[in-house]
Amino acid sequence: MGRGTSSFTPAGRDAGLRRLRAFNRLLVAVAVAATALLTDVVAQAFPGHKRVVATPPSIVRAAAPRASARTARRRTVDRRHAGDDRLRRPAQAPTSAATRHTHAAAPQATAPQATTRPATAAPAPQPAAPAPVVSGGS
Amino acid sequence: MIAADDSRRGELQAESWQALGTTAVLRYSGPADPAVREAVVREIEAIDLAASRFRADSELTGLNLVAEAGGGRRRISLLLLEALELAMRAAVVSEGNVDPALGDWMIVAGYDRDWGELSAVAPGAPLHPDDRIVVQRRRADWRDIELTREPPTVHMPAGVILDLGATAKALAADRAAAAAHAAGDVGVLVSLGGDIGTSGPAPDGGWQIHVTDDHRDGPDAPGQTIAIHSGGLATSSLVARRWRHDGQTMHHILDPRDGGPVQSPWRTVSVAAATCADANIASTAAVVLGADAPRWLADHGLPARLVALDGAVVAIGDWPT
Repeated sequence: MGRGTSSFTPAGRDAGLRRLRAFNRLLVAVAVAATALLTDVVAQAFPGHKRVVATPPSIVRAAAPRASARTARRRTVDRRHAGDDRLRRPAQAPTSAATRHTHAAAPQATAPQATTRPATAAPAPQPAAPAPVVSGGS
Repeated sequence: MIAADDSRRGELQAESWQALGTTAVLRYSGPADPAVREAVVREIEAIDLAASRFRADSELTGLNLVAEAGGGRRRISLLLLEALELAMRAAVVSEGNVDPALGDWMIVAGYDRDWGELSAVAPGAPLHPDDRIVVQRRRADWRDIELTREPPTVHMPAGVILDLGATAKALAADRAAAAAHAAGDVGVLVSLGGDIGTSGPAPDGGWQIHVTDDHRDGPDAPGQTIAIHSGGLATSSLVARRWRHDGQTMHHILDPRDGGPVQSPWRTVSVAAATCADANIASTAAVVLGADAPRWLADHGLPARLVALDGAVVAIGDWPT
C-alpha cells in the first residue's frame, strides 16, 4: 500500500486514462469491423431462400395510394423472381432492311456490280424474299 | 386449325395460322419440315393450357379460382412456374408497370372472354379521359404472390386475379422458336401477334420485320421495315385490341395505378431485346411509363422505336433510322 501511494502522480493518472480511452476506442472499432466481416461471411455461406422485394419506386407508389399503404406489409418473394433485374439487349442491334420483298411495288435498284458483268454471265433472278413479318400491337 | 402457306420462297418457309386469339407466323430456313411446325404448335398449346385466362381447363384459371375463394397454396407445372416467374420478373424490372395481377381489372373493363369474341373498336377511334373506369381497390397485388420452385408451388393471395397476357405470349414465342430450332436444326422465327422470337442462325440480311401500329394491317401499313439477327422484338400499341364496354372505348393495356386504360403519349412502342420476353416487357412498360419511357429504355440499353400519338417517331439507342 505504501509503495503504491508513493508512486502516484496526477500526470501518470492522466496518461493511464488516455491509454485506456485509446484502447477502448480500438476495441470498439475492431468489434464493429469483425461483426461486419462475420455477417458478410455468414450471409454468403448460408444464402436464404427468400428476401423482401423492395417496393417499386416512385412511378407506382407516388400515384397509387394503395402502394404506400402496402409498404407496411410487404411479403416475401422468391429471390429468383427478381434476380435478373436488367432487361437484356440483343446480341446485335436491328439494322435497316436491305432486301426486296414480294409485297414491294417499287422496282429494285440495280446493283453497281451487275452493270460490269457480261450479259451472258448475268445471274439468275434471285427469288424474292417473303414479305416481312409484321410486328404491331395485338 | 392450321392453314399452312405452302408457298416456298427461296430458302425460307412461311406458314401462319390462328392461335392464342391472334395470328401465329412461322418462318424457317431450309426445306419444309413438318417437325418444325409441330414443335411450334406443341409449345403454343402447352402455354395456352398452362397460362390462358380464357380456358376453363387451364392451370391459370384454377389459380384464379383459388384466389377468388380466399387464396391458398397450389402445386403447378414447371411451365406455369416459368410463366409466373417471368411475370414476376416483369413486374420487378418494370417497377410495377407491367403488372400480372390486373386480371380483375381486365374483367371489370370487359375483357372477360377471348379476344375474338369482343367487339373491336374502329382503328383510330380517339382515347378520351372519360374512358377511365372506377373499380374497387384491391386488398393484395403481385407482391403478395409467393413462388417456390421445389416443388413448383404458388401461393395465391385472396382476390389476386392473374392475367399473364403481356408476358405469356412472348414466352411462348421464345419457347416455340427454340423448340422448332431444336427439332429441325434450322434458323427459326416465330411471331405471335407481332411478338417475335428467333432461334438459330438468321437468313442472309436478317429476319425482315415491319413494325407498325397493328400487326393485322400487314407489311404495307405505314411503319418501318428493319432486320433483326437474333433475339426478339415486340410491339405494344394502344391502337390494336380495343373494344367497347359500357359505352366506353377500352384497350388492353391497363394502368396499374388505377386500372383504367393507360393514357400514354405513345401510341405504339417497338423494342428489340435478347429475347421476345424482354422485348415485350420493355415495350409494355414503355407505353405505361409515358414521358419517362425514352430515358428508361436508354438506361436499359434497348433499341426502340416510339410513335407518338401525333405520329412523330422517336428512335432510342441503336434502333436504325
